[in-house]
Amino acid sequence: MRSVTRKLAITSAVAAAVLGATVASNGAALADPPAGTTPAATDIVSAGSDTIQAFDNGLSAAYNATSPASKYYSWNATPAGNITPKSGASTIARPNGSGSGISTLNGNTNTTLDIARSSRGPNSGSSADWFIPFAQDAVGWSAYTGGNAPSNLTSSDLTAIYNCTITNWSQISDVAGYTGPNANIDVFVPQASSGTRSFFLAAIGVTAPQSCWNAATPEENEGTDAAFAGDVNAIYPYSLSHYVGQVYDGKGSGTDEPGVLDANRSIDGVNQIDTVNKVWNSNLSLTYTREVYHVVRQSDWADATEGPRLKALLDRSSNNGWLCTNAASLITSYGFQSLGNACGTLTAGN
Amino acid sequence: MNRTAVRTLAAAAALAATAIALPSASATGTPASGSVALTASNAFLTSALQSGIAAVPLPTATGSYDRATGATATFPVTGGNAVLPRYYGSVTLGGGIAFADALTGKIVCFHQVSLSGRNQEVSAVPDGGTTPVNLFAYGDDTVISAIGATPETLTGDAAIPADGAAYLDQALGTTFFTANQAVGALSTTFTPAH
Repeated sequence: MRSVTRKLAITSAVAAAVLGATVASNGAALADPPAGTTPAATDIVSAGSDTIQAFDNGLSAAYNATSPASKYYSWNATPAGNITPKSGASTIARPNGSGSGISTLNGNTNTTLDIARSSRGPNSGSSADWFIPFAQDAVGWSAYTGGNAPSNLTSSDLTAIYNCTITNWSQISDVAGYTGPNANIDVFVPQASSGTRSFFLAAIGVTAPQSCWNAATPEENEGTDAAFAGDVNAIYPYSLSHYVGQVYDGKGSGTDEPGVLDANRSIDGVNQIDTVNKVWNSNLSLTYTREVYHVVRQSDWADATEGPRLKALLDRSSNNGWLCTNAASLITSYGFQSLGNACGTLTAGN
Repeated sequence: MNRTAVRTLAAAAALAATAIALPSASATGTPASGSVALTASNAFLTSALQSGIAAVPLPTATGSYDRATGATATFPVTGGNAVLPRYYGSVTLGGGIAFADALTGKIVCFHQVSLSGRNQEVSAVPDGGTTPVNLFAYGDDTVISAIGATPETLTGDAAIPADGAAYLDQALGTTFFTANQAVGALSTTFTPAH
């Protein structure tokens, strides 16, 4: 039985469609600008985070259906290679991950890239950019379905696993009812530019790469990666919003699926996923929740030409920014949770 | 000075004279500190006064006026669990605010003031009531400090939310307040207890 929350989300999704959203009916978002479409020089384009790329593809479809003066297009994090984001832009290496998107934003002008998608927060020490949150996410852990990992790990366990103090499931001694087999834990992290990677490691207090980590760095939120195949000892961080979107909302596609991994597990005894309401559990510690952002140059935000294009999409609802005003149901339909009136708040950083 | 303005000032003076101080919150360790300052622009003040409406901060909130920026009501932080850059929790504030309308003679006072980290709204409970009313909300150009910064800050334009506007008009018997009505500016500084 679906909950009232769920029904409201569905009702809202229908409302979004009435508003003109043209997200594919099965929920799978289009990747990159649609085939045959070259964004105009006056359009706004984004690149960067894998975690929010599916949402931004949906956002692009819904927003562009309203025929804005400047349309919005989102470039996926993969496949590797070069892209020319819009007409007149420089050809650049496709940014893969939040860090790569932000550095590409700051290394180019709005002739090439207008927005970086980011699942990490701002670094202090620079006021080059505005980080503009639009939703909340949580990051937890996943493991091979039916493998050797327990259903619950404490924060201390996660820290010890990722700093290599605990390397064998048999060393897990603080989970009631669990006796780990004598098997080495296979510790995975996403690729180095991943915002999910940096957030998760910071949350558990691990500051540098460790010797016990698997050399493979799979694309984040993709349990379909060949590195996980048959690996009953795999453990991997996972965006819980992305997981909900994949599992319950039909927003996965191709390799962008949980595959052999599942995140329906617990941290410190708190379930990561509310399987009844089919959302991530808002009772998770703040340590494991985060905001997700669109990042723009502060100079662009203040610019008389570029600023209105960005603000039409990203500004607060009080200033009629489309995302903050109209997309609450779209946000929840991708597994994220709404920020309410705080959507569109500016934080300086880079 | 016209008759409405005189009556408005008289209403404001009466409000100030009857203000009641709230007991300050007790604390252990280093208590939470900071303030929320609401500045009503001269444009808003002029419009309100011409409609017979005045607002006055009630102790332990304080008031001031600057010719350039307008009238400011400052509410001291008394506690709260907010993590403003994470859009979490709330800040509890001392003092209150009273609104009066000189034409209808009605007054409504609010205490138990708080700021929501999630919704970025200042709410308060009308005297004699139990349900908070959202009186002011952060609007355009809202800027928040980075995670980990001390004190946490939140600045931006201030507006009256739809529910607050409806409540005030009903309570005062006016039609002055409107949804998303620009008031001026809000500025919060918050240092959590530690």
